Amino acid sequence: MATLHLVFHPPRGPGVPAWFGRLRTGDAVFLLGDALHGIRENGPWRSLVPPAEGTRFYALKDDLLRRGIAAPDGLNPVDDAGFVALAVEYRTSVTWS
Amino acid sequence: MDGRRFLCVFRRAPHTDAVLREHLDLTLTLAAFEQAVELLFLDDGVYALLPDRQSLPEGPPSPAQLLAALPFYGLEQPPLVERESLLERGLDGEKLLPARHIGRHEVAALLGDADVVLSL
Repeated sequence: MATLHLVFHPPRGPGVPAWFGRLRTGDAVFLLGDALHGIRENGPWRSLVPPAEGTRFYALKDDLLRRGIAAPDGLNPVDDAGFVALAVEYRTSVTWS
Repeated sequence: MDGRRFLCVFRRAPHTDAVLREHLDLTLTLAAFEQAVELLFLDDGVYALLPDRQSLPEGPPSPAQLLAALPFYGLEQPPLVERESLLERGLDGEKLLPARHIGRHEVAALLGDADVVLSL
């Protein structure tokens, strides 16, 4: 079964974040709030998107707009309804804050 | 018993607030009702696996004391701990409470295979 990973924290250093090592094929990552600083133009997480085949990345459109961050290829912007749909689609979710 | 598998993920350091201890209480309650529960210690949660240096007579039980009670609740398997979380904190050489060490890549499968993930 696939897991929805909800990431709330901004990068804490230049390396690959711990949650990235805990993904498997089919999982999805939702970057929320200040987690989006990770995918700024030179952000340390920018190169993780798109990641290994089978992992999808999402963010809220409003979170992107608020921070003036353009979604890189591989990141799917969704609205609130899209977020709810993902929460229903994935049986389990886990929060990394 | 309804066959659901619970994975309780501990990510908070043990002595900064009551969250880790409360989460252990919740886990023991699930076990007392004969639910299938696994414990997984990640990130700052791994500090909970350091044994008590000195037991204090007053106050609530320490995480180490609660973990020692797991077998009495039918949890015969030792808790799981992520090797990388220990390495990142310089705890890999420390004497820890009994736990099964797993790699970060194995965490993904545990998360995916559980019916309910309770992560605090």
